[in-house]
Amino acid sequence: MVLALALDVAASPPSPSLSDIVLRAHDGRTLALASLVPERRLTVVVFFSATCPCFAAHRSRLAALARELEARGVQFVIVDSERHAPGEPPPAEVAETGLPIWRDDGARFARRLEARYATETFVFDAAGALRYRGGIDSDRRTLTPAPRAYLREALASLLEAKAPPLASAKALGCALRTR
Amino acid sequence: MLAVCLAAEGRARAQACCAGGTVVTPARLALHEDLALGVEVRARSNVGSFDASGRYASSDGVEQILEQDVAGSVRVTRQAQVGAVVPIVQTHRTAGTIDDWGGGVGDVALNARYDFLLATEALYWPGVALLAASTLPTGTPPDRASHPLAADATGAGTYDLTVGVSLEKARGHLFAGVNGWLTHRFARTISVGGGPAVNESFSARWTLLGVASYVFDDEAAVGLYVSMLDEGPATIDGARDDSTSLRLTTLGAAGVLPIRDLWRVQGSAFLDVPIASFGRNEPTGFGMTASLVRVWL
Repeated sequence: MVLALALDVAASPPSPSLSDIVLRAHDGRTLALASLVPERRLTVVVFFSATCPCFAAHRSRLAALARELEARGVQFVIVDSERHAPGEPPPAEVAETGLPIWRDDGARFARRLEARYATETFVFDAAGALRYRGGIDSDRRTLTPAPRAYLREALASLLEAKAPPLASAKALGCALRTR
Repeated sequence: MLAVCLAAEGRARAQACCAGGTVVTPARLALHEDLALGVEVRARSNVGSFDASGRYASSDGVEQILEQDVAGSVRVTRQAQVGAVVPIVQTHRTAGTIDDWGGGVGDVALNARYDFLLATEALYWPGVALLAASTLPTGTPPDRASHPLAADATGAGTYDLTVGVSLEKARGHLFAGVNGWLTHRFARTISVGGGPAVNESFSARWTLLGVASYVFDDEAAVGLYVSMLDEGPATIDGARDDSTSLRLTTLGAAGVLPIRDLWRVQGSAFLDVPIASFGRNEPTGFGMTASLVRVWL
């Protein structure tokens, strides 16, 4: 039983196909994940919500992680899959981080990944295999000094060619407004 | 260009993400909460009552009720949660020269909620949930009370089953919700003072609760609510008694303050509307509640 649980924890989640996923930038540029993912050792997809206090609380942690690991071949892709009301333009960048936000029109990518929450994170290796899905860390809105850093731990293990300690973890962000 | 983009994201309003629904139901699990345990104190003073025709009259006596609840909720699936409330009821009544104090365990209430769509998941559609509840007659009903003014009565004396629907919408800082319940109270046999037994059955009870609240960026929230209860006439030994229908309308203000995502303090003040036809066969008064809830994510 314990072994079965341990194997379940260590097993990678099923990998969705990225071949037809194209995201769009604020200025009209497009981003084909199938061609982007192989360019780096790891690609971190983070679902975004402009109105989610949990995401806002994690902005600086995300930015620090992206800066720290960029040189080691980790790229971050921030995805906005939410529906926006008329007159509510989708934001182009994550405030205070410089990380661009890529539009996922029709929430096609979110549905493909079964992403439900802002801050929900997916880590792909260069072969397009999904290696981790879940929260950035164990904090929700209030940041604590020593959270369980799920994403950081997963990235550290994967950069050392090891399986992440947890293949999936709870994501504590707001429900994505995709309908 | 970058400055414009940053400004746009910075202006984005925080949403009533997770806390709006707990303004009037403190033990309800918000998004990502798996378990909540809390205590609630409810103090109420009745200052009058409605008669069978809906006329309000103030009371010469005193009726004060202090209820201390232990409440808990647990998440069963991502969309479903169940909960229970165990009340301890203490009552103080005076009438003429009689001063009566009593109390004990009240009626245990069970509840369940299944969210089909959360209040923030759709741009236009409201969140929709199915509600269910049941009350167990674990308290002492008035006909079995032994005190002169029945201050030791703590329950209704019968089971009930409730089904309901909840509609909620969160947009920006605003949260609004309407809950409607239909309750079936099971028949009971009562015998007052050793007299002949009487069988009493009840009409369906409707309850509506409307709440509107403002959710701050830190997920603290303040709101106003109105609840309306209406029950048709009871049937006594097979004969419908039109003088037994019930109605009560209550207005309240409530607030909730989350503390570091794991605790929340909730409070409310309420007033039964003492205006003719807003009540029937119910005591009316005012009161307040205070709750402390610990949640686990």
